[in-house]
Amino acid sequence: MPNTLKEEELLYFNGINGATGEYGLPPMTGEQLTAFIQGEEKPENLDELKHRREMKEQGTFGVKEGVDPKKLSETGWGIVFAHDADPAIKEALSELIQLRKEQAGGYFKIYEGPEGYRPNETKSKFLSRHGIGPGPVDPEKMPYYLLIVGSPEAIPYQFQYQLDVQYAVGRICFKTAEEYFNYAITVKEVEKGNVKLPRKLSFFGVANEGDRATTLSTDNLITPLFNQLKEEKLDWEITAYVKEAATKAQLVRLLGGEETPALLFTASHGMEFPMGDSRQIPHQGALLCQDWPGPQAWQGRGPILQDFYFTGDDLMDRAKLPGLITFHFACYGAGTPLNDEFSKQAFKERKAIAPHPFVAGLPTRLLSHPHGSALAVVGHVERAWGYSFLWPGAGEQTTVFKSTMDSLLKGNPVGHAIEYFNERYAELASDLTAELEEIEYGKQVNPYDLSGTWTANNDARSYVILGDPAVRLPVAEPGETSTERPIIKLKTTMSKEPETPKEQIPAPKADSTEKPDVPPPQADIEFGLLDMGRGITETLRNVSEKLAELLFVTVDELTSLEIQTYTTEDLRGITYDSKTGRFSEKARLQAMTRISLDGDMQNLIPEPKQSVEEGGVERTSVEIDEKLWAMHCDMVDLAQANKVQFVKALAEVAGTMLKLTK
Amino acid sequence: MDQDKTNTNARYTIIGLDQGLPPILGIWEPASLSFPSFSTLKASERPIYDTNEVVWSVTLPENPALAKETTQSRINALNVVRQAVSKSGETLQKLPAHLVESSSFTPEYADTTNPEARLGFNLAQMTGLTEETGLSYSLPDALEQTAANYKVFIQQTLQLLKPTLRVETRVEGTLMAFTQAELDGNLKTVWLNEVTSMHTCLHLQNISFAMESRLALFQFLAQVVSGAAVIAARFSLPGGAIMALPSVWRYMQDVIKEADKWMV
Repeated sequence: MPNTLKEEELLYFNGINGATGEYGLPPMTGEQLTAFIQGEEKPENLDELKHRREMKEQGTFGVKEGVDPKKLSETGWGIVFAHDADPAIKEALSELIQLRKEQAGGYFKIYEGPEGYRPNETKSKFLSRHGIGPGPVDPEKMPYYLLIVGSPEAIPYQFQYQLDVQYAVGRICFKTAEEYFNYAITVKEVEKGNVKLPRKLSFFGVANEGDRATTLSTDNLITPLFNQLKEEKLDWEITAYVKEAATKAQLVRLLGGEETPALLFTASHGMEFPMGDSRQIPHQGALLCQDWPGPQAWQGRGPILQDFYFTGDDLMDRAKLPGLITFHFACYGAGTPLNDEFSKQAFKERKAIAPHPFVAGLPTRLLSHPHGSALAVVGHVERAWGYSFLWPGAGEQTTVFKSTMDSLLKGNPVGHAIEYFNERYAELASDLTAELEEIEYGKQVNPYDLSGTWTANNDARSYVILGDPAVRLPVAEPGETSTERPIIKLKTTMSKEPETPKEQIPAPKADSTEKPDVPPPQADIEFGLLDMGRGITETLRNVSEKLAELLFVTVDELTSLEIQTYTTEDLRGITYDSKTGRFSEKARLQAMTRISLDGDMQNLIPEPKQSVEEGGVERTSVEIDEKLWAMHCDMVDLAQANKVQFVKALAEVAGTMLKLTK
Repeated sequence: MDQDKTNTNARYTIIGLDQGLPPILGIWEPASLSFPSFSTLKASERPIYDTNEVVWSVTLPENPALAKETTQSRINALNVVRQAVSKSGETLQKLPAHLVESSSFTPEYADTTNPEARLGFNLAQMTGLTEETGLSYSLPDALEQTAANYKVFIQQTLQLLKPTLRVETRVEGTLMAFTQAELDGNLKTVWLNEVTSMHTCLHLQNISFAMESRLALFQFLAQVVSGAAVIAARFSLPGGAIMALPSVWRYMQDVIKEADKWMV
């Protein structure tokens, strides 16, 4: 696998059209892309981008000198609502707002009503309305950490991108007040200090067969990041699930399942759907897993099955997410804008790609989960670009990703950690603008250089944080005992209920032989009964959860059925490796059948050779081993019958048990 | 259920479970991975099992007719279990309301062989209607024992939930074939080169039988759970359905035992 791109190589984009099963945007040459780029408009905040670039050269971040970005009491924290936001949302977020108010002290600010975001307002106008010009963040004037609340329709992504250049900006956008409440309570509970997750970082890198984009991202982004961090961060448990291991079933375990880390980094295609497709809003940006057989194998087979990708619907109800921060490198992984950037450049018209801009389904569900949510999701709005970690002639470019990960692992708030992307955006945007100005005056440029700069510029700009930018990884310090990820009990209604005083449980007496003076009260009898029940409930819940897991894995793997028939001279000592799905060498594969969901069947038929002598010439004939084939066919019938029965029974049992144990 | 109705050499074992527990569905003997049940095998002949799998091992007599007969008798036994589970599930759905209102239960009912009578007795104890035992400071012994047994059953079921199921067929101790059945339904089988049509047929039946047994166990579990929910609601049991689980489980076990007595 080369680690540099050749100039003539096509550019690939990390998006797959779920409706057609093909690339969302066809691969194109640098020259084709350059033709698009030459219509590029100057960024609205070009001066600030240039200033930001200068600041980087001086080694300073977005916030002014002398301010510790880890301390909210120095940086400040603010929340930005649309001017006409529903008051119920603010009410739902009251616990989070109160927490941040206490932490930020005098540098706390709510932008709402007339002070809130106004329709079509640019970032510059918003800042100047609040008495702020370009330059480093001064928390006296506006807090460094800013949480945007509301849909990208109400407060556009463009505003978020530009504000994010200097400020640490995040967004939350949910449908219901209850979802806002779930997020707020989770952040508050996690920040109480009781959650100390194990220091675990996991990588998930898909490389679909014959697919250049994901092969590039796994080989040149995931693998180097994993290797570097594994070597450097000895007090972190770092694991990577790549290629064959990057299945949807594995992602279930990593996103709320038993292997959920503190920080998860994924690289894959993101799903995209045409406007008007009913799957676009819920599934666009979903992560396409290794289960998809790749562009060649899938060619002409139509829509991508949901079995291949992981979306918000796939998060289990019992998922344990509190404290999790995820980073998804995938097209539309964070959200989708209203218009396509490409048509804007190429045809000078804004071609709508969605009925309205929206936040992707997976992060929405991750951040509002009813059993406690994730803290933040970093992802991409629009298409994600492989070019950004692999520069022509310069090899891997993972420093920005690596620096961001380093910063997160050090315990910095996510909004501050992501500053490396903002710096990169500032650098690339000012370079690109300068280059385009030169082209206007007739300069000849290398189209591949220009396309690379433009691609990387768009890529860096479009990373956004979903969630509060002030959250950080709640992990145990090295040597400190970690805690189980908690299940946060969230209220199902918004009404405030009086807190029930906690039971005063007496400490056990030192002398256990001491007899009570009076018979135990009635409550003690009930405790005895319920205690028995608790033991059963616990065991039953374990069974239910295992059944549900089995069911999920089974349904997940429903796309095909494989029957293999082997023979051997001696069965003793033949072992089976459940991880690779293979027998030890002595077993010889004689026949194989693969049946796809759509009924397609592929057979590998046993063909023993027979040598016959005819007229002094030895001829070899090939005939099917009828006996073996009959045995194999019987096995195929059995497998088909069993699969249907098994799934049906499993669904019935899991459903019954989950109802009872809920 | 009598394990060796047909042939004393026949053995139906599930390897990878805690040993010494009652047979699963009255058919499959639990055995641990240390292979005490294969103690007659030489070390070199002992199979190497993965700890991530549960092995459903069937040993059949060498005589083909006897092997066939043994297999058929186990299939019949499983059908009886399934019918009994289904029947007891239906009975639980329409249990008469007066079942636990009766004041005629005496402690002797703890030893009754009548499934409905024992269920009534257990439920009556739980609702506190039986004056002889009532709700004292600890659970009545019989109920406590039932709860403990139920817990064992659940633990056993948990142990069965492993990603791979292996079915192997032995004839008088010689392994003829084995199949790895994965959760996604994939089947991978290794046959001995000289396997006969008879042995092929037996192994196919054994795979089918193991799968059917697993399904029956799941259905049994589901019936216990839904039956407990119905009973708890109908008799307003303290502690709800969870508390009714052991009694319902015991009832269904009793029904299976009774059905087995009538099996021809």
